[in-house]
Amino acid sequence: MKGIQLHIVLVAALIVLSWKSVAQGRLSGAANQFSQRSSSSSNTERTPQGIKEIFPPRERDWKPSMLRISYDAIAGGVSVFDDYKRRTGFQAAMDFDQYFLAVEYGTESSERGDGFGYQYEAQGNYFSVGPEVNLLKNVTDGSILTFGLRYGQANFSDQLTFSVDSTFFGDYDVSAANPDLIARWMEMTMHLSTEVWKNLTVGYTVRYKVARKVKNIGVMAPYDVPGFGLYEDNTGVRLNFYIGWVFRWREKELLEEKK
Amino acid sequence: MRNGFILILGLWSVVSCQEIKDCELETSRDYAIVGFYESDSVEKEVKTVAFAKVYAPDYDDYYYISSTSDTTLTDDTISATGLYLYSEAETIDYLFETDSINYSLTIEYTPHLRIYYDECDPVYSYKIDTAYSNEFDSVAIIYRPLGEFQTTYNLEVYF
Repeated sequence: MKGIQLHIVLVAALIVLSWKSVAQGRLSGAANQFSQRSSSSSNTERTPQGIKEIFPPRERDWKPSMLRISYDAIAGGVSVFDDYKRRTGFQAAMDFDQYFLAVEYGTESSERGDGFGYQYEAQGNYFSVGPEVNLLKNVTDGSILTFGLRYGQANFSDQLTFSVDSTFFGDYDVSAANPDLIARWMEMTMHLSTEVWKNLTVGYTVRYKVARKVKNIGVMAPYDVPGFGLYEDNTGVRLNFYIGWVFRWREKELLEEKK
Repeated sequence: MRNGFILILGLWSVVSCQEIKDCELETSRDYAIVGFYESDSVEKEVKTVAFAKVYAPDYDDYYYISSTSDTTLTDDTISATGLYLYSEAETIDYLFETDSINYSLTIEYTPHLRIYYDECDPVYSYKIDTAYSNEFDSVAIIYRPLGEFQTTYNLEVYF
């Protein structure tokens, strides 16, 4: 549970600030369009047919138009400023209509116990993949607000060495390892990003991870699970701040009704 | 005013929800508690017995109780004893020596190692899988985990 409460407070503040600075301004146009349509068609009956006249069904555009590749700056910061952790993280997302298919990959290693009488090391890689739905479907300047569901998996190993001080058997050294651990979990994501210059994007992803399972555990339980957090927590919250670039090969039409 | 209240409430929530990390607060132990009982009694009757030596032959440098090795021991009668488990093995044999007969007791167990807090030492916990003896009349497993706060014996030995 370490730091989760702090994360929640920070994330809540970020959501409020980001929503004010990005979504509010950009959605005002869409809101105006909605009010104009509603007032201009106020005489239309509120029947299924009448609603179709106000909001005619749009044509789906499943052909991808862009690929966004991002680097996790928080992971990079951890590697620079934390002497005992190394992290890298990348994320890619491709659009399909108002949906995205997002893939994340990263590596993590950690060392613990320095100054506490033991040495623990964990290292491995992780990935997550899943769909996201973009709620800012009428915004065309590259800003996106998505909610998603992902499957996450980590392949990692860990080692522990320390000295046991036993009442009966005396002092003896212990070495334990898990060479082939596999962790699986599900995560719910919220991603908010905007293009700040040309195709350069910045944004963050908040993840709530649940249903963590770990296979191939030996005598020792792991402590760190790459991509997830602490093994002792069955759920986890993580914030990623991404800097990315959008590769766009065609312009996408506004995802609302045809005029 | 309202913003200040929300800020204080948030800080209070963060501070109050922090876990207490007490490295001395162990919930498991590394020895099984064995109680001795009369085998031929109708009621469950505790048996008080004096063993000359209780030890694990594979680790014979160490003994739990020995009236022959410990001359300061004034009362070597016991009705229960603790038997330590070795973390680097999954079975251990204990020998209970008397003047007339030696009793053996084998305990098979599963050790589990875990770091609960990264600021504390790693902790072993144990769970008894099985226990048996060729000399005691019967051995019953009462409570498999070796817990610090358990209220029953782990094993009951009848002879």
